[in-house]
Amino acid sequence: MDWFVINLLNGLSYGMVLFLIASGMSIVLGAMGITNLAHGAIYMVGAYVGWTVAMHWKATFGLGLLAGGLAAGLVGMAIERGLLRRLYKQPNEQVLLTFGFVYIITNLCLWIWGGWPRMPFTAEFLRGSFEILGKTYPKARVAIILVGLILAIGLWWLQDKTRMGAIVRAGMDDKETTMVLGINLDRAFTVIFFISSFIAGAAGVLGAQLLGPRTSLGLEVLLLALIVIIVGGVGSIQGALLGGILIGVIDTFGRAVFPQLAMFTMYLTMIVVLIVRPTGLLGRKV
Amino acid sequence: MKKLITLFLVVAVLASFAVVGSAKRARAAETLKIGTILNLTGPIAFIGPLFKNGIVMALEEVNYTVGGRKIELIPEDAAADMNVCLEKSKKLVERDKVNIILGPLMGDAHMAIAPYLAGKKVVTASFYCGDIELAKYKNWFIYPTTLVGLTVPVGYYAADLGYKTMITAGTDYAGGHGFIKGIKLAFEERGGTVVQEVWWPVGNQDFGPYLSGLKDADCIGYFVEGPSAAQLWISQYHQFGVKIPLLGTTMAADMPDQILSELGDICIGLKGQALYLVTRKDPINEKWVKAMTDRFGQTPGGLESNSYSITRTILAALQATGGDDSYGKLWPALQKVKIDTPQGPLEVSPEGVAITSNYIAEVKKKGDRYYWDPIKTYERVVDPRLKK
Repeated sequence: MDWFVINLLNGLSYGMVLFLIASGMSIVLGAMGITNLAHGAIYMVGAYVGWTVAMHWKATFGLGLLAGGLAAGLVGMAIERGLLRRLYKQPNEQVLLTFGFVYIITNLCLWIWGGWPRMPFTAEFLRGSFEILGKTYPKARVAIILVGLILAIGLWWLQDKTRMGAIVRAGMDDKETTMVLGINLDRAFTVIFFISSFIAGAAGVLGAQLLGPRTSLGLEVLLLALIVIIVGGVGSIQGALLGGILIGVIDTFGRAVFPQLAMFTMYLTMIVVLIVRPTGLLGRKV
Repeated sequence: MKKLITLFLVVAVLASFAVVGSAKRARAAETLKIGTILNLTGPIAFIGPLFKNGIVMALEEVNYTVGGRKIELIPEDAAADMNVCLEKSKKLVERDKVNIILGPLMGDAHMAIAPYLAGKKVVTASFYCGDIELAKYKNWFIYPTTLVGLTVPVGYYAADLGYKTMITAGTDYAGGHGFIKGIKLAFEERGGTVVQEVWWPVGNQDFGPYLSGLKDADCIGYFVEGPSAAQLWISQYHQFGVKIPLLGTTMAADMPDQILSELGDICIGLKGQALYLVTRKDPINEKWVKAMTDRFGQTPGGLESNSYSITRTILAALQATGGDDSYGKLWPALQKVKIDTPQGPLEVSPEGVAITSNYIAEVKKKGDRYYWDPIKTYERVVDPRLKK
């Protein structure tokens, strides 16, 4: 029982990080039709900036979270306004451009923060562990689950209950009609891109509690995000949440029960979902 | 006619002397090119410059000259990709015409380039261990020993501490299996029992599933690949509050001072096998540390020590051949090298495997600085399979 609960918590905390990584990318892909392969690199920017504020400047973890999100949001917005908006409906060019940014951002991080991996960090009160069913368990992991759930609810509210969310959904369903109705979709898209990148940056700081900032994150995280989006489906917060949790839990139990298959469990899940439901579990048709 | 033939023979002999002489002069004048394959970009980009520093220091000490020949170092970036590594090896051999390559680091890259470089008779040095299989090619200088040989002291030390049971935990790839095998062979040789073997995939970042499934044992003998994963392993081990003592491998290389200072106080008391220790009291080591610190502005570690010792070994062999870097001369000379290095005395086995000292060290703190302190020395460590 204790083994099951501990690994379930492991899976949920990992899944929440995956959800946060993938949610922004999924929305941008669904709403704007943009495949932003620089999303992982933007996540990495958030992690590094958060580390600088919280650890190097010794401010609070909360400030690090905010700074990481803002820095990532601004980087994302700059990419969207400067270049990506000229490449709408040009998927090949988008892929090439944003993948190029993975290398540019990674090398900038290498230049600014150096190549040594930074230590996972968390808030002072979240350091250490507590007893659960006779086993010790890290407080930071439970915090990731709770914060992830709160952010998921917030993003769901933003998507389904606000005017901005309605514009996004309308833009996904029928871009031309939405524009004819007088909606400034260009501005809305910039805001969406900023929010998506902000979430990625904040996820970078939250995820840094498990995986400290390092220059390899840009590509590592990108792969995970793509798997979660494929499993959960493009364009919805609920899909990213379901995909993240499913992949996190299956991957964790896979490692615990079948360690020899540890590299394959998440890919097997993805293949099964693609066969059974090619649009993803909760995907929208774009 | 006889006179003509005699004259011809005299001229031919003189001409051959002239050719040999000019060839020798040409070789003396010809630059000796040494290639090195580093990881200067990619996920372990921080390692490449450190290996390069060690090489540069060894070459600067001899003013880039050996046996009367100027040395040119040709660095190549493999970006931790074995396919790139193979391409760069071909470039070094076919375009740059090198006969010596220092590196690469990774075991998969070793295997990818070994058949090609053996065919070209290029003397190749592994930056950090190598599978015993490489020895069959007879062109590999495996430093500091084989994968299995490196971690043998961990098993012996666990037994010396009175531990009876052990969990082994390591990264699931060829190198990881070699390192864990060394621990296990040595521990079982001294009467210990391995009660659980835990393997995680290369690039694993979440150790939670493994830490929460550990059985009871006296200690954990482990190997984690690279500083990045080592840092995550130690931090998550503490997050999960695991109480079983850790005995690690490749500590000074995978957990250099930069990583220790990132980990902070949680790393104090951590023990494990370390090949090179910057704090080891030894005049050669102390002089080298000062020279490296003055030259590069930072305290050197195991990575620089490895590449420095490898380059010194190659230079010693080249000195013995008078600067002749052809395989036929260099390989036998390499097997006879005996030198003192910052890491300790070094000699080379007939198989091309280095025989060096190996240490068990513990992390201590002095002021704000965390460092590896040697607590036990194992001299002339040899892969048990080479003894037979």
